[in-house]
Amino acid sequence: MGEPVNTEVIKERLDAAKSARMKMWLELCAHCGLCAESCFFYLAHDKDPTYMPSYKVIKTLGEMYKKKGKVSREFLEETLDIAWGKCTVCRRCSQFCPFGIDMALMISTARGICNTQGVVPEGLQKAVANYWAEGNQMAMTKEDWLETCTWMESETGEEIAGLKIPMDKEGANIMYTVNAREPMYYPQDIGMAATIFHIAGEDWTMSSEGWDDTNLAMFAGDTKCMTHVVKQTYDAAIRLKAKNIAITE
Amino acid sequence: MYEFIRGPLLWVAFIVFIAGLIYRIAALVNLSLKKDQVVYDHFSTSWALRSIFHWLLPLNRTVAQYPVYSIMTYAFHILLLGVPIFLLAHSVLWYESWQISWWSLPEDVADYLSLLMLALILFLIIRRMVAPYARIVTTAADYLLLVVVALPFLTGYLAYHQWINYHLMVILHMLSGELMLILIPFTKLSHMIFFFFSRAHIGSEFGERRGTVTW
Amino acid sequence: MELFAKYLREGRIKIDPEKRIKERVTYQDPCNLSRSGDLAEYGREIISYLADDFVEMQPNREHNHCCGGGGGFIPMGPPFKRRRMESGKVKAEQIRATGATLVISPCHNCFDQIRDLSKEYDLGVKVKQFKELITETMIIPEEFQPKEEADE
Repeated sequence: MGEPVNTEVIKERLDAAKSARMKMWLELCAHCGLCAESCFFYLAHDKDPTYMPSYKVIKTLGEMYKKKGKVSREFLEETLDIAWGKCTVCRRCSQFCPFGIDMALMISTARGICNTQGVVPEGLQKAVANYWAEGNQMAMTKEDWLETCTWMESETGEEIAGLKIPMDKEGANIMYTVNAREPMYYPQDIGMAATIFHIAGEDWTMSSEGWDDTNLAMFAGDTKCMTHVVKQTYDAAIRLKAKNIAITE
Repeated sequence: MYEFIRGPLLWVAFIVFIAGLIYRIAALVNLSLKKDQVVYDHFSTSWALRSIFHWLLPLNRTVAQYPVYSIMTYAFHILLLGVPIFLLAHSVLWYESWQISWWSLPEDVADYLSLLMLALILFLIIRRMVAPYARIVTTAADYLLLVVVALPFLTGYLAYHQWINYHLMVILHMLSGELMLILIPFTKLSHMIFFFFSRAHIGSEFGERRGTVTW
Repeated sequence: MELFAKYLREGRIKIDPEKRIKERVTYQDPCNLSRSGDLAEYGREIISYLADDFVEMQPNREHNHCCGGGGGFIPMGPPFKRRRMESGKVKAEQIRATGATLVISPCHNCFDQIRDLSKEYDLGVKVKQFKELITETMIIPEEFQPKEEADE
């Protein structure tokens, strides 16, 4: 809590984020308030104006720019409360703003700045650590992943004749990737997908690495990890010479 | 005094207005070339134009959500541009200086429209004070800008009816008009041009890049 | 999802008319697919093969509301659960208004969120993904039937 804030880093990040469009948006908002109705947080809280999109942006990223990065830890904690706790970055407000200001992108930027100071919800911090450790948000080991797939192959294979879950097959038409919650909590999902691919006669495969298609690092505002996650999957597709990448539901 | 405000100062105001806007646009485009490659990657003229079209006209969901405010602001913007351009007294001045002329509003109509404009501005000010979602984001500058916009209409109205002091009113009228022109490039009034840039971007971002509409 | 729509369209996967879903269904547009992905129509296309009684939420497609589980909310876990339920009120009301008993959503965040919302707001709805519905209703051709069964 009491740790000092590195305002230099914040300033750097703010400057880097100050593209032409960011600059324009910061100046342009007419404070008309018409974004309010677009936000389900605002609607769900009996139209409490502190939940409206433009207010949330002004109170977080707007303040940061106004103070040129010289903000306190308390401020960053408040920003966490708003940017993560009162916004899902669904981008609906960006569709409803008369000026087309991309408020969701601005909230994401505020998240990224909190991230540089370690101010991130715990659950997401853990997910980021998991991505670094095992390449997926659940920190599932490679053995567990392969085992789950083999298990699903044999279980589903009892119902569907000839069903295979091809692993690391080169040159397939489809490289199928999943949400790490599936092998962890809903392994049948993989069996179902395999059933559909099998019966449709698809030439498909799964990868032993880079198989998690979620990217919670993006929600955590951690650009480095975000890139790492995407690159893993991309590299896997290149390695397997897959023609397409299919993403789970 | 009158001659100075009517002559050189008016020139200054117009030059600041035009040059200021050109400078702002140039600076924005210049910065965008360095830091906004992603905008150019996904830019689409057709989506940009559709985005502008749907929001210049009331063809979007936000307008439908706020019908009263929308009618008021459309009227406000139309009068803000229309009354000064089509006012007979202004036409006469254009003709005196440049021998150009165009259609003008009948004088009594223009008179009522000016009153309507003042009422609309009053409405916008009251709305900012009353509507919770507007009040929470409103700053002193927002009120000031509304006053800046109201002044030329107020003083023009008073001058036309020769109330208080005609000569003083005409001077204040010209001064406030010039003030507004000078402020446009450097305040939120600059949305008269940046609106188009911003809408072009978001229209392309959602439309060209993601295939969805923003209206 | 695009792929599933293609399989159904090309007849590579066939749905058993007997097994078509009879109860009322609605569709939750995931923000990443329908708002930021141009995939809204594929969802409707797949549903047209699967279900008889489909009712849209209002608003829908790219203008649909977020379920309230996105943006990291689900993995943010218990400390944010209460808030997630409160802000999900809008989605809960949208679902209730359709009168549906089954919500289809091809997104894991939406899936978890709507399941939680159903408990919180007593909506009495099930949530399913396309994978599950397709495997439940599709015709499994002869050659894919398990051997033992064929012997019987």
